[in-house]
Amino acid sequence: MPPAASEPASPVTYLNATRGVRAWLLTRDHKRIALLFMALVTLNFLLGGLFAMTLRVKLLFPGPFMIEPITYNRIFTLHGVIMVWLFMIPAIPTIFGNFMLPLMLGAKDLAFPRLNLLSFYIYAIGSLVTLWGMVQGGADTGWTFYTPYSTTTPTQIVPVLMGVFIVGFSTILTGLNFIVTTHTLRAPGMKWMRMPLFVWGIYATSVIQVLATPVLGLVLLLVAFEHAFGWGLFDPAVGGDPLLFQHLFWFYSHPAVYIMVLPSFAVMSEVVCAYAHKNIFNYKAIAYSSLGIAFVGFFTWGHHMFVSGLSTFDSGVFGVLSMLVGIFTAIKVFNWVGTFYKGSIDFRAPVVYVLGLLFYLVFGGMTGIAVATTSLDVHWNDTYFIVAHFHFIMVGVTIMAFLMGLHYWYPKMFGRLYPERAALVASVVIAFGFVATFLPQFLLGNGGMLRRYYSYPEKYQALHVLSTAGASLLFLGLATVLTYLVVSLRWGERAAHNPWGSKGFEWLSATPPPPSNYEELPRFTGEPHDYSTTEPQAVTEPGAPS
Amino acid sequence: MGLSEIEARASERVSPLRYLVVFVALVVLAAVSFGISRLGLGVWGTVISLAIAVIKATLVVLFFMHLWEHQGSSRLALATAVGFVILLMSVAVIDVFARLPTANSPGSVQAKKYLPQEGLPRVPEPNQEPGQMPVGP
Amino acid sequence: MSEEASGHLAEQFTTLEKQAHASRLGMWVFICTEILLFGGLFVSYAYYRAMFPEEFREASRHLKTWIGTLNTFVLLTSSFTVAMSLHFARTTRGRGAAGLLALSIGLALLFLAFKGYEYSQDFAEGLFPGRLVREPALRNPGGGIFLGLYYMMTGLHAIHVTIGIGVLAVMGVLASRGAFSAHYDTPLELGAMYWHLVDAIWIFLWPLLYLL
Repeated sequence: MPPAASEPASPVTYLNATRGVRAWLLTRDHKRIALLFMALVTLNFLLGGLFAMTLRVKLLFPGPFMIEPITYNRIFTLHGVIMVWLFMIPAIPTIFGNFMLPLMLGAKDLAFPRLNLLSFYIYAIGSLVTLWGMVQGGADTGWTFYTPYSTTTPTQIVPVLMGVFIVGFSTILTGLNFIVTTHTLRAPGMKWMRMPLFVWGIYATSVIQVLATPVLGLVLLLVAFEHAFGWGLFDPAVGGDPLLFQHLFWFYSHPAVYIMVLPSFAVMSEVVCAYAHKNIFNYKAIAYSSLGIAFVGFFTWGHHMFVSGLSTFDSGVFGVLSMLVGIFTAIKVFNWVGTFYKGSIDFRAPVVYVLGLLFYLVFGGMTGIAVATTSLDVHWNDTYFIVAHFHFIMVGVTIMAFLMGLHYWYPKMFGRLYPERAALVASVVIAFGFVATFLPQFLLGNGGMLRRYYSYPEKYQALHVLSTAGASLLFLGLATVLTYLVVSLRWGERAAHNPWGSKGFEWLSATPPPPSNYEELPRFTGEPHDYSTTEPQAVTEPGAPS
Repeated sequence: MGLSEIEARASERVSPLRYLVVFVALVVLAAVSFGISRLGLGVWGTVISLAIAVIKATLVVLFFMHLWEHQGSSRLALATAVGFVILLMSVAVIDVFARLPTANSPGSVQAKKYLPQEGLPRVPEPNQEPGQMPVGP
Repeated sequence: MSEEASGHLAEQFTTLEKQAHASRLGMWVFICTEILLFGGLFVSYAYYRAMFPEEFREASRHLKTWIGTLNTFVLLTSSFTVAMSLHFARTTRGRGAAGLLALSIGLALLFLAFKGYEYSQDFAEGLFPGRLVREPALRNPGGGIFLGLYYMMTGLHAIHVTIGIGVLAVMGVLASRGAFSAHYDTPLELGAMYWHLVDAIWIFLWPLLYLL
């Protein structure tokens, strides 16, 4: 099916229906709000990436270079804070979740459109407060804010804490909106087991967001109070216990990594089916494993505390449960491979990202199982092994999925095509750049290089140089992607209605969609991602209530 | 008939007497709780007080907040939230008892068994630096 | 939560009942987030109580139990009046509802007044949080922690009471204008749910801080 369109007509879409700054900044349209988020999230990503490059450049040399040690500490803290809370947690849900959820469910909007807009502005304000904290000098505690240092540090930690606290509300409101939308706005015929797998992933993510984030809010508040007023809730001299901070913090932050990764899995399921033109290997396995990850993910937080003085009983239990949660991910990996197998693969840039994600997920995930073993983690904890492990998942999986989604849904969102050749080249550069950046870090960590260290013994320099070279390649690839995506907004070839021949439900609406998504609500009759039949997936009934 | 219609019909049928009965029950239970606390029953006093609190909260949730009539997903959501608080509480408290006793805060019941009684840390003066040990007797 | 100029039904919902159901579910999800928020404080309380049982008991004796108990009855009554106001709004189109909401707000303000008086008494006796405590009997590790948690828990609760007063005030104004009926009472229902949550949290705070 030729991807490009031939008709020159310019229909009314959500992009051009109303014009002007107010029409965008005060919009209630979930699609416009998705684009507002996209703009801010991308800016935050650039900032976090800039900090990452600064760190990598400093680490080219073992001794002092370019920046002071305390500046280095501030930069890795802010890199973590921005990437975790201002990029990875919002990215896929607020951009693709916002845009696609109503389309996939056959709804005209989310359940609470004004709450959606509020969520955006809270995110914006939280970003600004964090930025202000940065400008004031920022925190130097690491993104994990461990007490007692975080409660006694002379740096500007309170604005950074408050920025994250504020962004947490945005996360909660978005999650709440998605949960209620999924429960109540499914179009006729859209049973739970007929929902696209993307919805299952976003739904599971939203459950985690809603249950875990309040605990983070509370613990950051406690740290801010203690820093500002010196109460001593975590100060042993007054009877406090730093380990309580860690229990509260990781109770949120471990599920938080699933907030970051489940949306990636959600995108992956959609993209794999679309580009293999094949049904998902086993729908229920993917749907239930998303819920399984969300649920069991809450039982594993202690594996971040193996060397902090956690009891051996707790350590043992957390170790076992942490391995258990890997099973759900493995189920997904086998499913995606099984879907690709004997599929009719349309080899485009997203497929490179699919293959990359599979490789990095298996590699990163297996190292996760390895560090879940307490006796091994005792040696690897706080080394670059851990850094490499989570970057394999955070960058290797989440960013690959983010890029995958950007390319797959680009025509849907903007009615234009990106340049395929440039995309293929960039994707390969990114894939190799990624490996070159983070694979050496496993070796560094296993060899004894500790994380968050400004200077290091000379013997580690070669691997650090390799890692920085890889980071430069990665940066180059990402810059290329950003450039052609922005340029294609205006000068890209106009896209046909369904350029990839995808059976995703979101492609039933116009490309790009009109403001109300569907003039007449569809009644779904077919299964999602069903390439085994040519029957229509939905029928439209003019003005029919359920 | 969909879920929303069931809920709408159910809330139309509730009589105001139900709210009065629940209110009286809440007041009585509060009084009982207060009385029990004055008896000084030790651990059992704690258990009973918490049990009464749970019953009171359940009454508020079921009848004042109409969970009795709201169905399905709301109940699941609430049960999950409460369950996760209990999870975090249990694991953290078990950790206090299961870890190396002196890994607990100085002055705690666990640490006191192994640390000498004299020279125990006391709360520092308000104008002292955080983390500094207090001086004086 | 979703009102349009041409009535109360938003375009993404097909019936008013579905919209009300969605709003209720949304409120329950929000209530779950509040449970987790205060839950973190309850966890901290249990954690430190396990370490300092005697010091917690001793510190609790220094709190003004009579004020805490009085406030419990005030809050329970306000919960009852709010529940009744919702019932009135559904059945008699709101005038009685507005009056009951005004009464509820009065009780809530009474709660805050008692709380404020209690805090002033606490400060007068040197019951400051954490390291700042001055009362000699509590200048030990567990006593300061208890007081720190006491102020965090009751303070956060008081903030929620204040927000609740704002919510009830808005509902009272709407009710007095006859905005609610058997067909449409969603904002009041949600506001009432929020108020009952505030009451439910105090139901746990009171024994943990004052009675045990």
